[in-house]
Amino acid sequence: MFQEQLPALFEKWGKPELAEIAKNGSFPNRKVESWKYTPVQNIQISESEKSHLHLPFEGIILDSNTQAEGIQIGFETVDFPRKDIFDDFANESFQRVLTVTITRKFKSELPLIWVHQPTSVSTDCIKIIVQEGATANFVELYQGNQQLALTYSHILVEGKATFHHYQFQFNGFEAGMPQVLSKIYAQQHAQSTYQHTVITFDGSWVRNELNVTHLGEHLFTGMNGLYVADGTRLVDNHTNLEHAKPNGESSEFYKGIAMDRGQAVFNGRIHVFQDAQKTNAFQNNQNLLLSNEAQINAKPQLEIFADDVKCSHGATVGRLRQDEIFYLQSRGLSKETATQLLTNAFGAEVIEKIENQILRSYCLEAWNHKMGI
Amino acid sequence: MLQIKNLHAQIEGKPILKGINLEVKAGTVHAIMGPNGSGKSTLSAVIAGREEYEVTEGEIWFNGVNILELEPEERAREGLFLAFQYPIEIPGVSNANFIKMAVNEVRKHKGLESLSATDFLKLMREKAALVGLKDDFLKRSVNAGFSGGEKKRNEIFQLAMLEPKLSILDETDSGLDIDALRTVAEGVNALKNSENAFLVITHYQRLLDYIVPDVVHVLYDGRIVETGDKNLALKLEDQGYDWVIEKHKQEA
Ligand SMILES: Nc1ncnc2c1ncn2[C@@H]1O[C@H](COP(=O)(O)OP(=O)(O)OP(=O)(O)O)[C@@H](O)[C@H]1O
Ligand SMILES: [Mg+2]
Repeated sequence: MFQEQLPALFEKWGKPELAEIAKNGSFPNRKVESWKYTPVQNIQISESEKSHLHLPFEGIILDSNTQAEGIQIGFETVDFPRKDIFDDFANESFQRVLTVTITRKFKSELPLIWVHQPTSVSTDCIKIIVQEGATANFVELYQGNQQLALTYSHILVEGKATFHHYQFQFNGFEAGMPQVLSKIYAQQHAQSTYQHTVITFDGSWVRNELNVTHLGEHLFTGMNGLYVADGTRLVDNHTNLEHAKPNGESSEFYKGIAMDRGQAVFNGRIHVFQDAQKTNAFQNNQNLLLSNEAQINAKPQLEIFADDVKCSHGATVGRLRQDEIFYLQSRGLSKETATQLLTNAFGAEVIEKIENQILRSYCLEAWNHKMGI
Repeated sequence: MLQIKNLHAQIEGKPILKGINLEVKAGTVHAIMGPNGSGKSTLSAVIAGREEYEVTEGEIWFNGVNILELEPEERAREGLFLAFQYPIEIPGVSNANFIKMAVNEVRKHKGLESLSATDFLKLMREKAALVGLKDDFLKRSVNAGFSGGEKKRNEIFQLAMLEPKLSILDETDSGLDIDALRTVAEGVNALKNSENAFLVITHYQRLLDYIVPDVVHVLYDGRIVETGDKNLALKLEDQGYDWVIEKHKQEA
């Protein structure tokens, strides 16, 4: 089992301190509310060689050698909140964290790319500072298969800055897709925009934790997600938005599809602080359940302590509509094709919201390919 | 082309069709009229293969095939087309994409190659013009946000693209303005030939002024109770259904 396998893997990798933690610490289990539907023991690790990565689109790869106008590379220490044993691994291994400062001089249209290529278990960490008034697209790409990428990002979006953060968790152009545990901690200052988009339709075990905290007023947080659990795959999205200041605006839109024996989890917490008056928070979570053996656990979690706010939320779990399927059949499409077409359309709604045209087309193409369309 | 023999169908245990007999020959237009709730849409849905309706008795033969055995898509590929009374909106599926898939399914069934992108586009433009649909409707999602009339035109557009042998038009005229009615009717007339047939369900003589039926039937309480020529429709227009109901309520 994963937990027992881990110490040896860390030893082999030359990380005895992590092996020690893995041996002595305890892993999250069913009794921990936020891990209730996400069994850690289902992670399966096998080792692989690092293979050559073909980038599916042009971009600027972030690493210690990155050179681009308006980008500064450095190394800093970062502390992440300690909630589970993975955080202990992270804090233990992140002494010198790749720190990327995006200044206003950065004018490139190209996305910044952070690549995760675990060969067994990797601990990847990045700190990003988006300086006042700066703008950037940032994409996380994955390559692998039966490996695990533990990815931690600390993101600071300064005043009037705009940061679009994408996680493309799928087997785009046969690069493969490892298992992932991602933890993002983003903070935003006044009048900034942080737009996050996570698309997950490959990877046997994926859990994404997204935490966003408001440090200023008149800012916008966007959180969009598409998660698809087919086969025996598991996808878990835990989002947590701290509306800590007045006049903040947020929009969260997550769509999930579970089929075969897949398992999907969505937990969307929105916390509106008592003095975060005039907050405008929108949350919508729609799920499509396509088989009796599949499971969806969707939970909106609104904690609102301010009185002068506009907060709306909706969560649905449904099936495809029979009348839609019949309509398509009556034009000659088989039931399977009709189901594929409707499921594809359901998911495409999230992808259509991607502003960057190149990234949007890339995702749409991969999604159509996944759905056999 | 189409032969329906003693067809009985029910939904949720409630009998709706109670012994329908109908024969439609190639090259003819049949009109079906009848009061609300008499079973006209049910008949068309059963012919098209809607699962919710359970056929308890009878047969439907279409060009020598007993189609009750076939899935809805197989019936469509055999050349059956239903223009829905209430077309379904399908957000996220583009009209052009959808109709392309449908056309290619039907072509595949006929043993024909898929159309090339250019040929398809040309055909699509031509047929859209025939029913007065602008090109930008083709890019939009199927029926999503279409007005009532636009949805009906889209049904006839699909019909024109698929070139079925038997087309059932379920109240295609309702919701159409006077000009649209003429356009759609002219579209249908242009598609009419000696090889295909039309079953036109309507409440109004208006449509039958344009699409002149060879045979007119009255469906009442799940049965075809009157059959005549186009003058039957004129009589109904003039006198309503009271006389039909009076004459046949004993049997009900
Ligand atoms: N899903 C259903 N469940 C229960 N009853 C149904 C269902 N569908 C149809 N019916 C009933 O079957 C009867 C026939 O309906 P149908 O729609 O075929 O009538 P129609 O002749 O097309 O009427 P209209 O002229 O109003 O379109 C009606 O009484 C209707 O309420
Ligand atoms: Mg009807």
